[in-house]
Amino acid sequence: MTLEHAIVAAQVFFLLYFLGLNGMYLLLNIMALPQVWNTLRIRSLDYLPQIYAGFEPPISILAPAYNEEATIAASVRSLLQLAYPEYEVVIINDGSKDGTLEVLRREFDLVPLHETFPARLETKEIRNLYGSLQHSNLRVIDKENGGKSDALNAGINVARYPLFCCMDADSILQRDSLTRIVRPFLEDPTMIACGGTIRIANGCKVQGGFLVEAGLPKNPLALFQIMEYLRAFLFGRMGWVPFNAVLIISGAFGVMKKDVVLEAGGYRTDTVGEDMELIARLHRIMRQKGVPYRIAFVPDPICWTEAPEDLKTLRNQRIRWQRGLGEALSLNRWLLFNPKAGAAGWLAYPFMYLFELFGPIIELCGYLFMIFCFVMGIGSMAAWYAFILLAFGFGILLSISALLLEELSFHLYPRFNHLVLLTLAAIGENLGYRQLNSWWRLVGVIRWLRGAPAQWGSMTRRAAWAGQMEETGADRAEGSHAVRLEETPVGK
Amino acid sequence: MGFGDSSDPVLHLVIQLGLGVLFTSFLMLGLVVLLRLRLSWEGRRREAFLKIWRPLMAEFATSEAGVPKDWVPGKTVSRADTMNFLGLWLYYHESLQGEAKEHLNTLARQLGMEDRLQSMFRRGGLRERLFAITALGHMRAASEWKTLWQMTISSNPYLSLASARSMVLIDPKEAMPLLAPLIGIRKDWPSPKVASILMEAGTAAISQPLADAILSATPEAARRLIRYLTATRTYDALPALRRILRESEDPDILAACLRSLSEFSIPLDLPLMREYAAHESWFVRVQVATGLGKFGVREDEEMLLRLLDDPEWWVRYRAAQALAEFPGMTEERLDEMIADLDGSPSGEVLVQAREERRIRIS
Repeated sequence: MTLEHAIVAAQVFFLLYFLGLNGMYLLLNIMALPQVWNTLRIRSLDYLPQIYAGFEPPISILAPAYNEEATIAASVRSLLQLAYPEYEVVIINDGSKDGTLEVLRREFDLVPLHETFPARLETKEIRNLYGSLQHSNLRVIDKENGGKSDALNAGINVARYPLFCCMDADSILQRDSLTRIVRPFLEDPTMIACGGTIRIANGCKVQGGFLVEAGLPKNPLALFQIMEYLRAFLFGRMGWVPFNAVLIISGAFGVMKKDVVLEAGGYRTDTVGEDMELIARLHRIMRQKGVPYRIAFVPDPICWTEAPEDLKTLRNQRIRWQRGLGEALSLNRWLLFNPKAGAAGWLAYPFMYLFELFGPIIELCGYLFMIFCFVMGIGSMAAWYAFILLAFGFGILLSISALLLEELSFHLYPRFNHLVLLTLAAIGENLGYRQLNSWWRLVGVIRWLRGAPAQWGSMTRRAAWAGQMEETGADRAEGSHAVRLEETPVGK
Repeated sequence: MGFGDSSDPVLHLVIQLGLGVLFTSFLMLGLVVLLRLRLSWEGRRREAFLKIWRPLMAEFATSEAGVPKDWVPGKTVSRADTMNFLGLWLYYHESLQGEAKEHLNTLARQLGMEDRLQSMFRRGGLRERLFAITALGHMRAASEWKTLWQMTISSNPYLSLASARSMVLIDPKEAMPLLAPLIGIRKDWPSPKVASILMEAGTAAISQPLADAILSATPEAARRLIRYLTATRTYDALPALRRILRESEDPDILAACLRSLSEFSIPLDLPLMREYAAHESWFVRVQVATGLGKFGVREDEEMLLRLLDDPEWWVRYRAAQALAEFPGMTEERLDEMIADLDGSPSGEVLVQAREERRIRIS
């Protein structure tokens, strides 16, 4: 093969890869549309007064907390106000070095509790278990630091109810979040896990610990992440639901059957992608056993989280996610093309390997290769334009398609200036942000391959919403474009 | 060199593809803007509609005479506003009771809604059909009975459940014998919604059909039906429950029946309940522990103390809770029991129950 042939082959390869990658994402968006559409139609009567008949399954909410003294009291108060008939809140203080435990003890009148429930999962040492004199459904575990997975396992050990909800202590829920996420379990007895859609809280207004006004942040990084979440985390994941091939349920908010997770051995503590690894493992174990099961996703915006607004925190997060992806996929590679693995092993797994895990490598090589060709005068300006058109054009198409899906479904950002900002973000994120992400993800892959020690790092949390507990509805948050969320209008 | 030659047909194809992609993006963006405009227009239309009809409908529903003072005969609702009307109408229907519902039905008939609803039921999309089915139920449209019954066996769980509810709204006594077997079979009907429908049907209509369905159901279906029977708090169900308890050997059914008896807490059932304290399945024993805690008598204290030694934690825990909450139980008596158990696992779980009791009392 001559050099010319090799270059042509490389060009064709990169071209086909870009087409394949973006084509798959587009297909997922298309698959997501009927799911979302159907969900909205089915829920069209939800605005009517609902009666709790006492059949809703009780849920244990497990929220690990590490150095959260600034926000933990507000978080717990909002969790205790959810509109759900029976649930408990278990906060796991994972060896915080600040005053998290003291704040909890003071604010909720904690007293030591004697616990005899046999722990089935090994965890770091539990120092104490507390109950609250104010709220009988609140318990706090104080333990040695062991990381998020270890904390969740400790929570599972003491959880009383058949379903548990894993979440981050600073996730912002809506009052009906539990009601919505438990629905798939009521409609399908084979459901073992269900994920909730995570939205970005930056720029939103929170009142009493609940989100009341959706808004857009001024920070461009946060804006780009809003588009990214819409594209990849909402519609990208919904597309896998009909195939029963959802491989990721975010640790920020998800509900699972406790006995199934206990049988599977709980969360692994030797990976930073513990949420994805557990779901992949559940797929693997259920497929190996030949037991009918489903893992689903609700498209409703029911959990809000703060996205990083500085490059350093975002970088650490993306490196960690990519590394976690690699670990989760390799730990459960039995699924890959296994005859028993169904769509999870024949569609989702290859997709994750080819496009999500190793995709950044190929993507960056593609950019570098084309730049090299251009600089060395190999190929014409036309080829260069063609590559740019495809690389950026498809990216913009995907982002705009996510915007279209959002408009057809939840339209959480109803103002026209929101639309303008989101459109600019949809275009802008393809002009450097995605490429930067690809670079970070490449770093994550390298670290995974090298087996470097995993680090969570720390996130600079503004948690501006935690100080908004007492604001009235007439107030407006500064530095955002906030609009009050409406109740579902009558007849809509 | 490469396919970079500007005369290369592949390159042309790629460029056209890229341009096509960009063009599609612009089209989509245009669609987003159109959708936003449409949403905005629909929102304004809805607000304008509600501004007129909200007070009008409220007055119509709650007025003793049933017709507002400034009611203009011949007032209509345009087809475009049908869903707006139904949305408001259903909200009031679900919120109000008694005569107000009849007034709302009169209003709907005067406006010719029944024909529109029948048309929506047969030809509408999912949302229109759900609204129509629910509204026809509230209007007690007996003419739709057969079609609703056919819909209850539809593979779509939402349409089928809505149809079941409407049948109950139209005639609960006729509906329940038909629906009771379905309730046991349809695992895709969310149990909270089924329970709500049964509550709407009323105890007189549901107890016998549910009891009959339980006796002829598979074990899995029977378990579901027993739970519903209990939730409706109908004492007419007790004879059926006792009979099933005596005749069944399935542990899940036994547990469901014992749980139901606990809910009713009839002292007459205590001897029956005690018979299962040593059952081989722990989830039967746990129901005994729970039941004795709810309506046991002083003499059952010994039995609960024995259950503290059960190999299954949940049985021990429920027995401990039952003891801690026993009528007349005091802190001192609990302390004595704990001291007698002297640090054993039974004593430990009783300590836990005592501490939880303190938290509840505080």
